[in-house]
Amino acid sequence: MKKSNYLLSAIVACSIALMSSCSSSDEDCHECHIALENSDGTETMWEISNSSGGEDFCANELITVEDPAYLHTVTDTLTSADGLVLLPGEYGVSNGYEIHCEEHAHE
Amino acid sequence: MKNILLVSFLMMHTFNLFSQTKGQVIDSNNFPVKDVNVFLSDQNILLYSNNDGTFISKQDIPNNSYIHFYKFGYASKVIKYTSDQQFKVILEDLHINLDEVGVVESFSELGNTKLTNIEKKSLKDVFLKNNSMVESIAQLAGVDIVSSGLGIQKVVVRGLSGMRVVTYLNGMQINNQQWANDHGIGFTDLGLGEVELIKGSSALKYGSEAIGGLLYFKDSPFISSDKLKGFFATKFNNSSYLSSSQFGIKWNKNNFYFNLYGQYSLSSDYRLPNNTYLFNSRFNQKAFKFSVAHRYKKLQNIFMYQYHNEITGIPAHAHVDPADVNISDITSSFLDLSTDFKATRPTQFINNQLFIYKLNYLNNNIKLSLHAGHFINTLQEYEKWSSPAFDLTISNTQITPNIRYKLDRLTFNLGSQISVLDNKNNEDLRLVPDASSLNIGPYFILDYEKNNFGYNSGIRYDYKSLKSEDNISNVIYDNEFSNTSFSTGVFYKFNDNVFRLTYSGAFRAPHFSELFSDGVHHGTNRYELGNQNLDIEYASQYEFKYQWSNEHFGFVLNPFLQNISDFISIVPTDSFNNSFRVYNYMQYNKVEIKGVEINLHYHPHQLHNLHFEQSYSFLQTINKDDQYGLALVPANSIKTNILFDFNEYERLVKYKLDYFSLFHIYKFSQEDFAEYEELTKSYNLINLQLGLKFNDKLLCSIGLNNLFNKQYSPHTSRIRSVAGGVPNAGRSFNINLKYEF
Repeated sequence: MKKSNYLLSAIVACSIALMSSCSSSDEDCHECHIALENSDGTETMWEISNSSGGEDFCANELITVEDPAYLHTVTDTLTSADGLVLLPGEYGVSNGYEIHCEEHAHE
Repeated sequence: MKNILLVSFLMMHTFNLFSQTKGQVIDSNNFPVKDVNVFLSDQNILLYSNNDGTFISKQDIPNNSYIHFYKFGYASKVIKYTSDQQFKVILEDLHINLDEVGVVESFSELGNTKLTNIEKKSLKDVFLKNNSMVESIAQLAGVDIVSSGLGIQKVVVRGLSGMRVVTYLNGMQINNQQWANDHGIGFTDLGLGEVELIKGSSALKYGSEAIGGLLYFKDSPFISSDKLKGFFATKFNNSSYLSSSQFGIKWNKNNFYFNLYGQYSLSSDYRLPNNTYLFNSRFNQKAFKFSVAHRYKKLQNIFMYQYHNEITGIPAHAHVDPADVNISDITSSFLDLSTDFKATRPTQFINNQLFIYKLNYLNNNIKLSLHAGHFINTLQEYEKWSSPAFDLTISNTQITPNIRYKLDRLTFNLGSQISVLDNKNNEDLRLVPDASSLNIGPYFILDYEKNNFGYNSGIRYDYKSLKSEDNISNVIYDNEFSNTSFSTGVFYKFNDNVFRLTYSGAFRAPHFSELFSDGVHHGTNRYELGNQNLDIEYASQYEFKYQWSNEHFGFVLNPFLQNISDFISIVPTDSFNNSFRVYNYMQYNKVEIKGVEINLHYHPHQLHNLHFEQSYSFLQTINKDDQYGLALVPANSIKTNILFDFNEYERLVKYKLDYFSLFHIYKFSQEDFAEYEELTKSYNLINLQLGLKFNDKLLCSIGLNNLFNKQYSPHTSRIRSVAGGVPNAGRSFNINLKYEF
């Protein structure tokens, strides 16, 4: 019986460890882009930079850029992967653009 | 003092000795049968017969308790225990095994298996032998899956799913926002012993809303044993680098019974036949559950707790019309194992907690039971990183008192199901509003059995009050729905022929998602718009079942016809909202669902180790109101399972070989589809599996799925409409191990 109790304790301990470990952190940083839906149903994307000129948006900056009311200021002309340009200006939901920070499949 | 203690101990021991119940299981040649499962169904306790066929219950078995005897290779038997008779049970040889379609007698939570068309699937070894629990159930005729990989899967019964297929777990209805196809079943096979299925609208006792069918999952029973029993199991699948582990222990001491289980699963994105990976089909599951029972004479108390946590990616997500998506945009050419197990976006974070208390009291002809359950489901669906697109908590409290009374050949069940459901948004952004409902459903069921004839009839009245007062969604709604549902059936056995005819009717009040939805649902790439004018939908079903079986061959023919009026459906409109197509809820006047299911089990006399099982599912749905058909109706199919058992060949057993199985499915093309669907081509799929038995405790299976690397996208795939149909997984292998002690 003693053996059974040890086994029981071991399994309970393992299960607690199992449940409490491996929690994933969501405080990562992510790349974002301005997206425009085209009339043919496709989408054009322009990568944008954070306030320091880097690619990743983190913490409060990520929260800000994902806010539906946010307008992103583009200072230099941006070019999409398929060669379409986006002129300097402010872009966001209010003028028909969206800002997405989703990750995409590896090419 | 010592003497008093000694005397007390001896008295207790004496009492225990006197309260034992002993019996024996023999075969038709009067030889004892060992390792027979002796299931005390009214107490949910399992015993095993030993080498001389005897079994001992440490406590008295109350008179008129049902005991189910079963072992592979024998026709199972249900007997009603009476203490004044010699307790000797004879099991007949049966080489076919059609328990799943109810050929043999067995105990069922859902009712008398003779009188009601109840199908069953053992889930005992599903972790060892199947990719997932839902895929295992989908091997039954008339059952299919709505899925996008192993992470999101739910059951389709005879072409109906979602709100129309009601799921119960240990007697508790599971409400987990099941209206949407991207919300999976909400639990795994952990600790489960069996699932029972009623197809169509006959599940009277468990609610009127199960128009499509009812799935009743139940835990594996407590054991009566002096030894601690348990298992550890682990599996790996190279399609998505899935690794999953489970453990379980069962313990019994005197009147106490205890079961404990845990699981952890982690999966990346699954591989398609062209060696790309469906981005974000990854998932992570953690589960933990325990149950405790105390039995004293005629009274039994059971408490169960279950926790399930899931982080599930929503693959094939797009901001444009799904049909315009290029498949290369949603698939990866390689897997990066350092990042591709992590949650990305969009993702669901799901927490389910289930509390159950059961009380059973059995006294001669009366069984009183009380079931009380509380289920909490929290679902957060994130499209952005920083805030959820919606965050919902649904809590459901259910109380079900029941009285079973037996009078000679009659059995009466009188009870009621009372449930209170509360749906609450935890964020201002919402797709469905805050809403609550109260459901009261008293029922009365009568069973009559005499020799080869049986009759069953039941009636249930449901009252449902549905309220919503949500200032953010601008919804004020207060409505009541009530109606009567019924089921009646006859059973007749003539030699080896069994005939069963059932007629049933049920209704379903509209769900709050159908009434009030207003927003983008990223899981379905739709803008969904509810309709507050929706009313009750009604269903009636005729079903006939003919069975014939002998020692080597079994045959089941099961035609059915179901009419549903005021069928609630979601249909696309020409409008768009934020680049998402708007879908409206509406009602069709009449929908007809008819079909036939056939099961065969052949087992050659010369080769007892070979089992050949085949099922045919033919289904036709007719929408009498529209030129288009219904959505997500599975294509007709032929499912074949060939099993060869090596255990009688010493040479092969020496090499640890246990069995070899081949599963083949042929899906016909589906040419009957909804407005926003398209034709789905036919396909063949073959899976192989080799079972190894290193010893009585250590079991292994090695599987090869999709042998020919077939590229196919089932009609019921929830990503069938994306990029012309995202294929299911390509060829993959899996290895599964289980150690039992």
